[in-house]
Amino acid sequence: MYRKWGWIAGMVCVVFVGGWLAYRVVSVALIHAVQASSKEALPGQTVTPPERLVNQERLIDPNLDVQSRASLAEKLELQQRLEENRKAGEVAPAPKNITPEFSGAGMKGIAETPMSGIFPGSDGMVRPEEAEIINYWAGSFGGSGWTVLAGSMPQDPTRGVVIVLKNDGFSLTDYQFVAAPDGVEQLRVVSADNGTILLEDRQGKKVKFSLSSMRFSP
Amino acid sequence: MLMRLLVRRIVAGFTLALMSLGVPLTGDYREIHGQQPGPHKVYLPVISNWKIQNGPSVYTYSYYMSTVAPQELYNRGCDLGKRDLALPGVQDNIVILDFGGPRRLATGDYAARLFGSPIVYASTSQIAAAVEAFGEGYYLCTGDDIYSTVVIGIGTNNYTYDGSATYQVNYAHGRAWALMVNAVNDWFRMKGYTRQVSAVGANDIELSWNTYEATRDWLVGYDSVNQYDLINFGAIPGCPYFRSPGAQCGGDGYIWTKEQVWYVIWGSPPVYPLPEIYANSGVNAEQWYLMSVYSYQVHGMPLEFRGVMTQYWSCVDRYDSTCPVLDNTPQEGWNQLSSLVNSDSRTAHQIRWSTDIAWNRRQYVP
Repeated sequence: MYRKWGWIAGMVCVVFVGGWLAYRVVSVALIHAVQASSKEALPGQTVTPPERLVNQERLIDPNLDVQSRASLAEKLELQQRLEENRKAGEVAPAPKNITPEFSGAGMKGIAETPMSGIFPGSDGMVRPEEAEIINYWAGSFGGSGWTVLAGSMPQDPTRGVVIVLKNDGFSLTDYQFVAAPDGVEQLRVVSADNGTILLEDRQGKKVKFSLSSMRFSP
Repeated sequence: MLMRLLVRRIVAGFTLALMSLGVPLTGDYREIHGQQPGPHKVYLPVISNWKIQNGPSVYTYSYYMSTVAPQELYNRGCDLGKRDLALPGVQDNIVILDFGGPRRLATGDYAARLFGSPIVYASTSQIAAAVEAFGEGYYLCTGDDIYSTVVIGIGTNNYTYDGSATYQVNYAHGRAWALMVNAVNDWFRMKGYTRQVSAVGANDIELSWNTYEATRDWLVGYDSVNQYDLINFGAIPGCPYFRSPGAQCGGDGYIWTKEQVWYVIWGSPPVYPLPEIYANSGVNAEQWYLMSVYSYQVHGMPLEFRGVMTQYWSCVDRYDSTCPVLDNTPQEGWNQLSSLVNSDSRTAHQIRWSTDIAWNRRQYVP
C-alpha cells in the first residue's frame, strides 16, 4: 500500500518538476525568439531602466559628506523631472506621421556672418599632445573652408609645424600635419592672402605656406 | 475515485506551475502599456522584463558640429531613429552634439563657435532649434518603435587661450546654456516627444584648457537655473594612474587639485561624467577609476559614470599623430572602464551608454 503511494508521489513529482522545466525552456526560448525579431514586448513585460547609483536610499548613507548629500539631492530632483517629462510624453504622445517644419526653427536664431581671420590658440581643435598651437587662420579658398593652425611640436619649440584642416559643406575633407623646414622654430600666422599663409617663427624668420601645394617656401 | 482526484490535483498543480512562470496563455501587451486593448483577451501574470539595449553593442555617433542647419540635424536624428526601428528590442541612447567653445555675440546673445571654417558663431537660439530638429528626426523616424529613447547632450567646452575675452567660460554663459537646455526640453514636452527624447547640457571639460576657477564659474552659472543634468564628456590629463599614483592633475600650464577635479566631474550638483576613454593603453580608464575611488574615500560616494566616449571614428575622419595610441573602439573603451569600475565593490555599477565622436555624419549599420 505504502509502496503504491510512494510510486504515485514520485510520479507526481516527476510530472510536476518535469513539466515545470519543460515549460520554462519553451517559454524562455519563446521570449528570446520574440525579442530577437520584434520591437514588440510580450504581454506584461515592462521596460526597466538600468540600476543607478544615484537613488533615494543613498541619501541616508551615513558615509556621505555634506557636499555630496546636497549634490545627490539635486541629482535626484533632476532625475525626477526627467521622469515626469517622460510620463507626460506617454500620456499625450505626438503622432509619428507628421511632416516636420523647419521654417520656424530657422527664424529663432540670429544669422551670423561667417568670419575669416587670425585667432589666438587652437580653439580646442588640436590636443596638446599633438602640437603646441600659438594661433590659427580660418577662411575660404578655392570654394572650401580652411583652418591653418601654427605652432610647434609638443614641448619642443625649436621645431615649427602647421596643421591644415579643410572642410566642404558639413564635412571635414582633409587633414594635414606638416613639419616646417629644418631651422624653422615655433610658428605663428601673420597674414593670409589667396591661399598663401605668411608665418613667422619665434626668431623672426618668415616662411610661406601654400594651400595649393601644401608646402612651405622661403 | 482517488485516482481521479489525484489526476485533477496533478493537472491543477501543473497549471499553477505554468502560471507562476508567467506564461501568457493569451494576451495583448498594449493594455498593459495603457493603450487600447484588443477584444476578449485574458491576461495572466508575466515575470519577465523587456531587455533594454545600451552600451557598446549599440553605441551611437556623437558629433563635432560644423552646422546648425535644422534639416541636417533632423537627418542625423533620423539616422539614429531608423537604426533603432530596424533593431529588435528597446534601445537606450545618448548622443553628444558638440557645438564648440563658448562665445558672446555683438548683440549680447550667448553662442558657441562651431567647428569648421570660415568661423560661425551660432547663438543659443540657433543651437536650440538645431537640437529640436535632431530630436524631432529621432522621434518621427523611430516609427512603430515607441520605447527606444535618446538623450541629447548639448555640448560646449571650457577652452580658453591666454585670458582672451573671446572665450566665454564664465557664469553668464553657463546660465545661458542651462536656459537653452530648459527651453529645448519645454519644446519637446510641448510637441509630445518626451516619451522618447530629452536634452541635457554637456561640456567637454579638459583640465589642460582652463583654470578650475573659470570652469567652476561656468558650472555655477549652469547650476543657477538648470532643470536638467550636465554631462561632463572631458578628460583628466595628468591625474594619477596605476604606475603614477602621485601624479599631478592638469597640463599645459593648468594645475588642478584632485578636489577641484572631483567638483567638475561629480561634486557640482548637475554633473555626471561620461569620460573620454581614448587611450589604447587603458590609462584614461585608470585615471577615472582612481577618481571614483577618491570620491568614495573622501566624499562617501563613488562616481556614477553615465557612459563612455571614444573617438574611433574621429580618427577615421582625421587621422592625427595621436590616433595610433588614442583610438579605442567603443567596445574597447567601455570594457576598459567597466572592468575596472566593476572589479571594485566600492565603485561598481552598470555603465549605461557608449558613444563615439566623429567629425562627419555617419550612417548606422543595424
